Amino acid sequence: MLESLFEAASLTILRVDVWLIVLAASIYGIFIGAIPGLTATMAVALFVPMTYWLEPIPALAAIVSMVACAIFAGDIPTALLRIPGTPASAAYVEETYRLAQKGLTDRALGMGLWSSVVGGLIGAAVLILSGDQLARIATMFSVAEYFWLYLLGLSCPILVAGDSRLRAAFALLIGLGLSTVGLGAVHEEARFTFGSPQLYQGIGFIPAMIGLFGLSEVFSSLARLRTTDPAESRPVPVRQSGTFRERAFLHPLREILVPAMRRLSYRKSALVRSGTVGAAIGMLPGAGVDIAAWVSAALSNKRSKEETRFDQSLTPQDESDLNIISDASAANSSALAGCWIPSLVFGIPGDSITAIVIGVLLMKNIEPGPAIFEKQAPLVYGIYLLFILANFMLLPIGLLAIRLGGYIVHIPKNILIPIILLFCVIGAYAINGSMFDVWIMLVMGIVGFLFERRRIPLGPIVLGMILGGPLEERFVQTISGANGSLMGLVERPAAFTLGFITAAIWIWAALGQLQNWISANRRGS
Amino acid sequence: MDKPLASYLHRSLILVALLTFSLTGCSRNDVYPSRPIELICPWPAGGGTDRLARQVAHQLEQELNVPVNVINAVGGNGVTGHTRGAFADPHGYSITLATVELNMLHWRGLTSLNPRDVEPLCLLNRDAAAIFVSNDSPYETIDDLEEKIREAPVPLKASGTSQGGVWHAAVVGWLIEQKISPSQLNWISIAGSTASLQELIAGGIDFACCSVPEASALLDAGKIRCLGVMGNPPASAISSKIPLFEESGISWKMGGWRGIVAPRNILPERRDRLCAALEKVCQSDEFATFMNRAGFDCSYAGPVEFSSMLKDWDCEFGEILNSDAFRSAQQPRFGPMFFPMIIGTGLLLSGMVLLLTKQFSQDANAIRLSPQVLMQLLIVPAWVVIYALVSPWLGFVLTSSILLITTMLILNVPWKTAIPVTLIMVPTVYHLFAVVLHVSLPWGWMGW
Repeated sequence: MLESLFEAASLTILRVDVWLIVLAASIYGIFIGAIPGLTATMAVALFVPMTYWLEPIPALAAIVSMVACAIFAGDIPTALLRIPGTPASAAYVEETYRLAQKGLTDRALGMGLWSSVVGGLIGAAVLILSGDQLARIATMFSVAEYFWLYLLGLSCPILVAGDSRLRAAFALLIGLGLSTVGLGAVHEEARFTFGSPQLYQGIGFIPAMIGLFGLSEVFSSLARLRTTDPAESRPVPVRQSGTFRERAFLHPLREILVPAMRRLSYRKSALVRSGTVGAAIGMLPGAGVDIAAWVSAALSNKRSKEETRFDQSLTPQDESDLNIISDASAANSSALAGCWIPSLVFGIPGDSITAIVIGVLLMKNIEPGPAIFEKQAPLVYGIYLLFILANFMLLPIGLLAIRLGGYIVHIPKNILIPIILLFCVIGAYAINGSMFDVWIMLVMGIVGFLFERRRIPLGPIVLGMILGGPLEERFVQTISGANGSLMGLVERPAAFTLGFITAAIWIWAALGQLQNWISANRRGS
Repeated sequence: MDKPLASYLHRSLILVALLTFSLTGCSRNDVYPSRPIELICPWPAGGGTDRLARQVAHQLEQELNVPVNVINAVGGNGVTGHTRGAFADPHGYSITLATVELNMLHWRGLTSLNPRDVEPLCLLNRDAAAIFVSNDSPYETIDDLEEKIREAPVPLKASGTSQGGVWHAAVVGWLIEQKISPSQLNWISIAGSTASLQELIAGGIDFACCSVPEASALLDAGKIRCLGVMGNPPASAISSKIPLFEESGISWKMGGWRGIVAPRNILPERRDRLCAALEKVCQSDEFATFMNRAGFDCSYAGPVEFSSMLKDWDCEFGEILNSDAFRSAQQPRFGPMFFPMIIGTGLLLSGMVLLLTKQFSQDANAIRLSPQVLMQLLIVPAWVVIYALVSPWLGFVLTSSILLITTMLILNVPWKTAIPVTLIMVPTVYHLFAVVLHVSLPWGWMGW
């Protein structure tokens, strides 16, 4: 084992070209992740032709680091423009943007950055220590278990909706409704397409997400631009004075890294929880990074304990926002490593990114499977080392990106708005190269603006659109597997357990809501 | 402000147009190909078809000296991508990596699109269907399985793709050939072979049908076994121990194919140029190595041969998909309206409660929408609508320059700022997306 480890080290961290490739790929990943509409999967897919002339280790190094960076970078436009750069950031848009509006952009992104790095390392640890045992659990998941898992995932935004669970449920149902458009996998005919071939593919959630969050924010900014005087329309400026040394080194250290690091030192157990939850969800083929962020945000302890309140300038709301950002970022980063578990052990892709990775491995004459641990041990150890290297690289690159992104807030709103509009249409068009998606984005933008005025949360709509199709598919598949009997949903022990947990959470949430309502009514009368 | 604004607007628009022209470079349309070609892939990024598409794009790019961008037009079991590819402008700048679904979707009544609507350019590969069981399954040979299907009191559960997909048709065709009633089969509609194989090892289904390369990782891992291949197995070494249907005396053959097609009315000289380039790609060593490593069976066929094959396959699939046996095998458990009904009821209920408890009330902090504010908000829909309608004709660069500059001027940005911003933004964005990243931007009749 030690021999393989040395060989792996000589293949990876002891090679200058690997470091250079990791550096370049990190910058590329930050870039793609920060552009709304371009996802981490797309970053990898666009990179595939380049892997043909790279050796396996550099190719994998590039993929691992670009994905880690892209998932973090999705937070940057979320904070600055309220457009999630990748769907993995959709779970905590409101929290990040709320902090940014208060001038706490550096705090929010610093927290996200540190948590991503630590989460990524936890994920790597899970992959290294128990990858092959855990992979066996993943093979136990049949459609019935996935049904309950998706239902659990869907419950998350309702659980985190503090003031009104019903409004969150309403938004979720809208998302689920939108997901039924088009031709699904389990039905012979298409639904709600009104004869349009473009609607056969359904309503894409990426253009919808850009519309709901990005375009609706453009509406609000325009309205604000009109009602406030121009001097006020500039957001709270970040302090950028001082010497070069101060701006380049001291400021990022003082404002971005240190506060987040101090806060995280109080949240060790929360980080470990988020990291393991993320890795566990990422490990399940068909779950993945986006859902990991949602579940972890729901598990986040909303009320901070007293000892974490070391910073008196933050309100309890800010504290809870920072905690959610931290938990969700840690989870989506560690899920990235989790996805590799079934891919390496069985060749079953954990998500669309590892599906591409398997393709690349096959191209290099490397067949994933249990044999890879014996036949290609240095390669496997190399991948482990790459995960660690990539996450450490994320720290300086991410910091640089936060600093550069910070300049966006200095652009006057009346110049920024047309540019944001441009990026919204490009992002919506890019994913499928279809103008139809641009129309979807516009409609969803108007919907988002109107819903927001009625205080209906937008995040659940996106989650409903992501999970609606799979949920229905798994349901129909389970039932037809059980010859039409609903018992099929709880026949298997694992499915029964998951179903029981889901039911318990729902009853608990409903009771809590009822109690709130009764006590509010009593106080009112 | 009133008089200068109009003249500034006028002058600045011309200036911007000229400068963006010169910065992005003008392209002439009389040489083919002179601008990027889009290769439509009807399946998602990461799958086998996508991998093949990206390889073809990568090599075609070197052959034609223009960027070839893969576009994943995913959805509707392939309806979306194939339809888009067939009805694209026949100017030779969009081609499609078509798959076997082109032969099947129209028989299932999902679309009117059929192989006669496309111009076949070349066949890339054919993958024979194969039957897999999990490693701990009691069935050792294909005869065991057949026996069990014939006699089982409860239909056996199988999957591999969604209801009516190619692997479903392959299994039903095999059962018909062996005189077994397809009602003895309970086909679970699971999209994609990966998810079906996961279900197989989780114990949710009795057997799965898909191609050998799709299952090779799990085969190697010893998690599943192959009981038989319906046709010629891929030439790769791993498949040497894999039994064939014909070895058990079953003559049934079925499989999928992948090929490149163009819209039907493509100009003949451009079609020939593409065919020649594709032939070179397919005959190259690089392509052969790729196909071999990826486990695909490489079977190139030129346009003439490919189109006659397409016709034959179409008849074959028509026979299976229209047979009474196939139709009787499809019994949807829940109507397509079941799920929307539940959601609709939930929406109605929650909406009513929200209304009654006045939780739909407006946010107290929301900005009041006076008529002036509303007018200003109209900029956004107008912007998007103009972009969506105009950019396919005028191209990305001109449309976005004009839109950027007008919105900035409406929002009281001084033109001295607006023009430089546009001049920097548009060419940068164009180069970044179209040139560096190969992400598609709308193309106008003048090129970019």
